[in-house]
Order: sequence, then C-alpha cells, then structure tokens
Amino acid sequence: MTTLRNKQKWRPFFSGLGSLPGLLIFFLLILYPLAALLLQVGFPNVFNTPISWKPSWQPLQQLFANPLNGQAIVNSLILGAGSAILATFLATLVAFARVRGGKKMGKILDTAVWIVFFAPSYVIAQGWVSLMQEGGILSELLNLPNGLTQWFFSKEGLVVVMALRYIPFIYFALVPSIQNIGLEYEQAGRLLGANAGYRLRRITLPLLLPALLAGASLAFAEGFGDFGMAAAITPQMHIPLITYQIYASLDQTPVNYPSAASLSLILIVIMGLAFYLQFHFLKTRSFATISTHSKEQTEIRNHHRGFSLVAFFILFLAFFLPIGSTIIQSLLKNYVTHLDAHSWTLVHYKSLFKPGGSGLQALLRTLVYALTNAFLTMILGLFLAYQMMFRRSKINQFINLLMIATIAVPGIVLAAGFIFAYNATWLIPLHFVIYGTPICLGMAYLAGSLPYAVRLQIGSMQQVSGNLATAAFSLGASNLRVIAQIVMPLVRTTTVSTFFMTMTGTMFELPASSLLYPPGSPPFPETIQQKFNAFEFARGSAMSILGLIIVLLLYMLGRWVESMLLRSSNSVGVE
Amino acid sequence: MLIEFRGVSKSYGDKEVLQNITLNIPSGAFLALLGPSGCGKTTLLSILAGFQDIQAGELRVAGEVWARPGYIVPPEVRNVGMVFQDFALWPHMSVFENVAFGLKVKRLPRQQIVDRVEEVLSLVRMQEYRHAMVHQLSGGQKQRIAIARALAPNPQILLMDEPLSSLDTKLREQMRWEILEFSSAAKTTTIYVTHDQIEALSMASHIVLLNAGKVEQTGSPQGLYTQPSTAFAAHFMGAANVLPVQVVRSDHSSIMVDWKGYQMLLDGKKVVQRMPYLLLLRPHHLHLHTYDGTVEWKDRFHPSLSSGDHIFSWTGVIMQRAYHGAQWLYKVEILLPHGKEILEVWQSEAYPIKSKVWVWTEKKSCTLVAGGESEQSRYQKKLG
Repeated sequence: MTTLRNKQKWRPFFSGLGSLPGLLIFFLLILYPLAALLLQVGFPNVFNTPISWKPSWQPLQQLFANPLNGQAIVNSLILGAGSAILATFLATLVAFARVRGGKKMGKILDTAVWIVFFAPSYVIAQGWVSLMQEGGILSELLNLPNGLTQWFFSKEGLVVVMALRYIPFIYFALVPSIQNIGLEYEQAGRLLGANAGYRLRRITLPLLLPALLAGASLAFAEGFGDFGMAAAITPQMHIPLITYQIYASLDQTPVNYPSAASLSLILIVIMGLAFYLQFHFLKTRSFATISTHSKEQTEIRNHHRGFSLVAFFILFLAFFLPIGSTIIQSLLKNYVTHLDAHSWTLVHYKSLFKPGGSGLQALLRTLVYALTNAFLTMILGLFLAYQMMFRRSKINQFINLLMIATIAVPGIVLAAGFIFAYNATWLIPLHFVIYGTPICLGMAYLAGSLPYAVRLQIGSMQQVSGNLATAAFSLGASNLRVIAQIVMPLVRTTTVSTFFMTMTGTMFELPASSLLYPPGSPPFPETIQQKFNAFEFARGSAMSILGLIIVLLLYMLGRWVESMLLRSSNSVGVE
Repeated sequence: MLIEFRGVSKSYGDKEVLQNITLNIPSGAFLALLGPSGCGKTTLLSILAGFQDIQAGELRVAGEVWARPGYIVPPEVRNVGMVFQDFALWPHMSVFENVAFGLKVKRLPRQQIVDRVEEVLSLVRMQEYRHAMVHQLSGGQKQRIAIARALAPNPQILLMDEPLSSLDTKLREQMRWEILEFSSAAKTTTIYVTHDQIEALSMASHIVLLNAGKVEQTGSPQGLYTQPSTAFAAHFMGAANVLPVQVVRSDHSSIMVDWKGYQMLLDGKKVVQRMPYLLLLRPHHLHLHTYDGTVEWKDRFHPSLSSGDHIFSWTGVIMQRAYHGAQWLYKVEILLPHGKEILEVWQSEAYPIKSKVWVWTEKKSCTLVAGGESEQSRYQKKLG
C-alpha cells in the first residue's frame, strides 16, 4: 500500500520527466530545423564561420532583388486562391452527388476521392504534362494540330489541374456538414413553396458556408504550399511558384540561403493564416443544424443520375485521366510520332528491373527508407500520443501545440530547415554534421510523418476512456505495461494503418527527397523527377506507375491486416 | 370533409409502416395523431406534407387527389404549413426573414410581406423579436416563431410534428394553451402528432390512435378515455388497471362478470359470452378508506350513496406508495374470493404502508373492454 501511495505521489514529477524524450524528438525533428531556417532571416551570418549573431534585414530586402521571387509569391497567391475557388465549386458538386446518391454511390465516390487524396501531386501533374504537351498523348490520340493544347500551359490551366487535385480537402469538410443538416431545414422551405434552386441558394448553401470556407482555406493552403505540383509543372510552364523558388534557391548555383529562408517565412506566415482561417471558420460553425430526427426514410429522394455522372467526370479528370495518360506514356516507345500498333513497348518497365539499374536501386532504397520510417513513426507516434492523452503535463501540452502547428508547415520548408540545421558550423566540433547522409533524410521523413501519426493516434485514443489507464495505474502498472496491455490492443488498427499510411506516403515524398538525398543515392521520388526533368517521360512514367502499384499493394495489405485484427479481436477495438 | 385517407398503405422495403388507413378529417378540426414510437404517425404526417409517397390507397384534400400510387402532389404546391419537432428555424436568418420566407417565395409585394409578418408575429406575441437571430431566442420563443413561419402564408392545413417534445415540462404546459390559441385564431385545420396522451386529450377536438401502422380507435378525447375499445387503447389513454374477467351472463341492459370469483353486475348490452373480456378501472376512479373491520362500509365511504348495488368494494393492504405532490399513488393488494390482485389507486389522503383499507369504486366507472389476458399482457409489455 505504501509503495502504491509513493508511486502516486511521484507520478506527476515522473510524468513531466517522461515527456522529455518526446520533447527531444520534437526538438531535433521540427523545432530546431524550423528555428535554424527562420533564424537565417534575421541573422544571415549565423551559419558562417565564424558565427555572427549580428541581426540584419538584408535577406528580406534582397528577396525582391530577384524579380522571380516576387512573381512567384504573386503567382502562388493567385493560383492558390483560384484553385481553392474552383475546387470548392467542384467539390460541392461531388459532395452533393455523394450525399444524394444513395449508399452504394456514396461508397464508390468516397473511394474515388480517397484515391485522389492519396495520389502524389507531382505524379498527377506529370500525367497532365504528358497528356497536354505539344505532341503529347492527347495530340497523338486525337491528331490535334500543334498549339491547340498550349492554353493548358498557363495559369488558368494550372488552376484547373490544382483545383482538381484539392477537391478532397473540401469534400471531406463538406460531406459531413451536408449529412448533418437536418432534412427538416429543407423540408420547411419546400412546404413554404421554395423550389430546389431557391432552397439551395437561400437555405442549404448559407448553412454550409462555414464548412465551405474552412475547406476552401485548407485548399488554398495546400495550393500555396504544394511543392509536388510546382516541381512538376514549373519547369514545363515557366510559371515560378514560391515552393519551387525555395527549392531553386537551395538547389541551383549560386545557392541563396537568405532567399530560401525569407521565402519560407512568407510561406509559413501565409499558410499559417490560411490554417488559422480554417480553424476560425470551423469554430464559428455555430449553426446547430444537426437534426434530432432519424434522417433515413423521412423523405422520398430522387437519386439524380446526372449529378453522379458529373461527379464521376470530375473525379475522372482529377485522377484517372492524368494517371491513364501516365500509363499510356509509360508504354510508349521513345520518339513516337503517331500512335499505332507498333508504338507500344514494355521496355521502360523491363529497364526498371535491370539489376544494378538506377530505377531498381532507387526503388529498393526508398523501400528501406519507407519501411524504417513507417516503423519508427508507428512506435514513436504511439508513445507520443499516449503521453499527450494519458500523461498530461505542461511539456506535453506544448508538444501537442507544436505538432498541430507543424502540420501547417509545408514539406519543402521543413526539408529546407534540415539543410540549415544539420549542416551548421556549430555541429562540426560535435561531429554531428549529418546533412547529406541517409540519417538526415530519414529524420526529415520522420519529421514529416510523425505529426500526422500522433494526431491519428490521439484521435483513436480519445475514444479510450481515461479510466481504463487509471484503473491499470491504480493497480501498480507501469507506463510501458499500460501502453502494451491496455492502450495498444484498443488502438491497434489505427497503429497498423499509421504504419501503412506512412509507408505509402514516404514512397512518393518529394520535398525532403529532392533537397536532402545523399549525393549519388537519390531515392525513388527524386529519380522519377530527374527522369522527367531530363525529358525521359516514358521512363519516368513507368517508374511512377510502378510506385503507384507498390503503394496500392501496400494499401491493400494494410487493409487486410486491419480487417484481420478487427476480426480476431471480435471488434474489441475502438476504431 | 377536408382530408380523406382512403385505404392508404406505406412500406419501407419489407416493413409495412401504414396498413389500410382510412380517415376523414373535417375542416377546422384539431386532430391529434396519437401513438407510441414507430406506430406510423410521423409517416402519416409526411404523406400529408408530400414528403412520402404511398403504395396503396388515396389521399384527397378538399376533393382533390394529393397522393395515390405513382402520383404525388409536391409539397411546394400543397399550401401546408408545418411546425417541426426541433423547429427547423434557419439559423442564418433573422426572425423576420424566417417568417417572411414563404411570402417572399410567393413574390408578394414588399409592404404586404412586412404587414403579414407583423400580423403573425403579433398573433404569437413576438413583434419585438423581429430582428433577433434564432440563437438569441429561448425554446418557447423558437416554438412561437416556428408557428408564425408556418402560419404566415395562410396554409389550409397546419401540421405539427411533436412540437413540444424538445421543451421542458413547464413550458410544454404553457405552450399547449398557446398553440390552441394560435391555431384557433388562424382558423386552420391542424394535425398534431404526439405520443403524449395528455397533450392529445387536452388539446385535440379529435384523436386518431395509431398502433403498429393501423388505426386502433378514433373519436373524441372523452370517448377514447372513457370508452376505449381495446386493451391497448385503455392502457395508452392513461393509467389503467386492466383486469381479465369472464362474462357470466348478459341481457339487453346488464352484464354479469366474474373477476376471480367476485361477481359484478355492470350496465351494458348483450355481449358474446365465450369471448375474453377485460375490466378497466382507472386508478383515480378507485377510492380508499381505512378498514376497521367493524363498520358498515358503504355509509362511511360516501353518505350520498344509498344502495350498495351502485358500488363495488374490496378489502386490501397498501403494498407500496409514491408521493406525487397533489396525490399519492398506491399499489394495493386486494383480496378476491379466488385469489389476490394488485390495483393502482390515486388518492389525496396519506395511508401508511401495510395498512388495511377498503378499496371501492362506482359501477359507472367500470368499463368492459373486449380482449383476453394474452392481449392484455402483450400491450402491457409493449407499453413498458
């Protein structure tokens, strides 16, 4: 009894100490790299030898010396806003088709939107480039004269492509909102004589406004900070974008650290603002529109086939058309002038599996990175989420806040931060200059995936009653035992899905892969990008498709494992 | 007749929720659709509103067909007002905009809209809230605005779907009076869905009692309460002691029944003797008196009663009691020649537990209902 009481007495103290490993992880992975990057804005010589802490406005002043930077910021703002508006419109159509289209249609549309969500931006963008470029697949298929698809390589074309890509962000916000609007709000309008259009304008859309604005803010943030799209399209379209300028400042000679840091700061501020707006709109959703009635079978609804067809067409454009174009591209012989039975080949796929070939090496390398990252993310995510949920302390609250903020930091900024952080002169005496090593790239992958994993795990653990852990503690169980025997069994399907989601995400992670890969050992995404930059579209496309197939197989494996776990536990899990 | 349901049936897949409903609702009636959850009352209301189609039968309003299999007049053109269970006031609109909505849809001139909104807001005594937003209103105020919105376009029928269910008990009692007042001022035919028999009894001019998708009984509130035609109706219309009895004999003016050996001569016409019957005794029609074992009971209970023929009495013991403010609810175990029976009795005086009492009632308070013991236990189970 005495022992137990002593344990109880000291628990708050140990709980604070228990948070320290978590804090250290976040410091090394996120806080330090971001601080190192942003420090550069005000202290441009902090990374010089010798170190100088003299503050200066020079980096911000110099930023606009290169007219491309200003142009990139404006372009990113315009494209972010334009694609958010168009995506909102398109996502609204798809979301209504989803809610009004019956259960089966809903499942199909949900799956299609998830596919769009998971599809890597740059793979989609490359598909569009293959399709629309001069002499591209569309020109070949339809025998179009030269110049007819050039309109696509403009800001307007890019807005369309980006809008299609960001549909899921708005869709996910919108569908539950539409579902939650009590049917009687619309029925009240019907009984008062309002037709469908009038009801949509005066009742439904105003009620959906908070969700629409939240989704649009998120889509804007995604568009503004999207590196994959910029990386694939900027070289083709000559439309400078802020994320590509950050990459170019660090990757092209002469390297311009202050410019990269200043652009990153602007990117973070604008994206932070967009995320703030998103939270603000979600918080102001004070309309208590959730019906107390059962929504099933309270009204005859005509399932509009036209609506569903439009939704499928939009999703076809968003994913299946660009991916179809990538598939076709990957099967075409080089330098095909017109399509016929002799234009097709599997040589690009065969070359990928050539022993010692760059494609296979890159693939295997990335599989190792993905597996390691998924494993570490799963374990650390579980522990950190546990700390935050069941071991409340000031440090944990701080880590939680930091983690939410990190989700708003685009991958390219975090990756840029790693360059400054782990190439710093003060690390030389410590023998800790890890920039350019696989460890640095692995850490960057972990930094990108860990916040999402922790959020997912917290979401799952929130459904586990705190009393379950308290009951175990009161019986003298240690933290480790509580995680292993109480929490883990209840959240295991989320833990498994975290593993597979991280693994598939790492397979196509571009920003860190591009900026941090060890010299001579490019990972898979960077190799694909290099192929496209070298105009080896067919080879690059074959690699993208192979990657997608692997991701799909991993996803299916993940779902299978999850279903097995759920079945074996006879639904004891909370997910 | 304003509203006519002729053999209306409705199913959701294999589940038949309304079976062969035939009803005639006169113009100007305040009709309560009463029944337990899942009995089909809201579906019937939805059919009247135009949100649901029907698989059989016909719905006519003022002689015009509103629904038949494969045909439905859409809600937009029916001129029906509806007050929803949770009001369904649009939260992004002010009180004025909510009430004016139906008038704007009709493209009435601006001044006419303003005048009509003022008129209905004054009817529900909410003029000073015309600029308020919905979230600034209390539950009762929301209720009034919902009524005002429904009444603004002068509907020929007003539908109310359990409109008091989201209010607290005190407000509910107040709103009953107000709804009656508003609906009679608006001179509309009102169809009021409720599962609360007190609401139905106190507000309606007509009651339709539904059970498992069928009409169990229709009639006036008094008729349903005092002369329920089934055990279900007896139970549903209020607290009841429903007791299985056997008819010994009957003629054109009286019926002799046997209740566990206790014989009672009741008023009534000749009935089929072989059928099972139930005796309905409402708890507040039963009375208690302290039993001292010596006194001639009938003179002590009620001096105005001159003949023992008009009353029935039993001795019993108070087993349980619960204080309800104005009255006590007792469970009394009474002795019958061939057994015991527990009766519920409402009484204003306090009697201690285990005390011996007389339980008595007047003959006119005893009602005979067709139905056997199995039916009785089935309904009791269903009603919880």
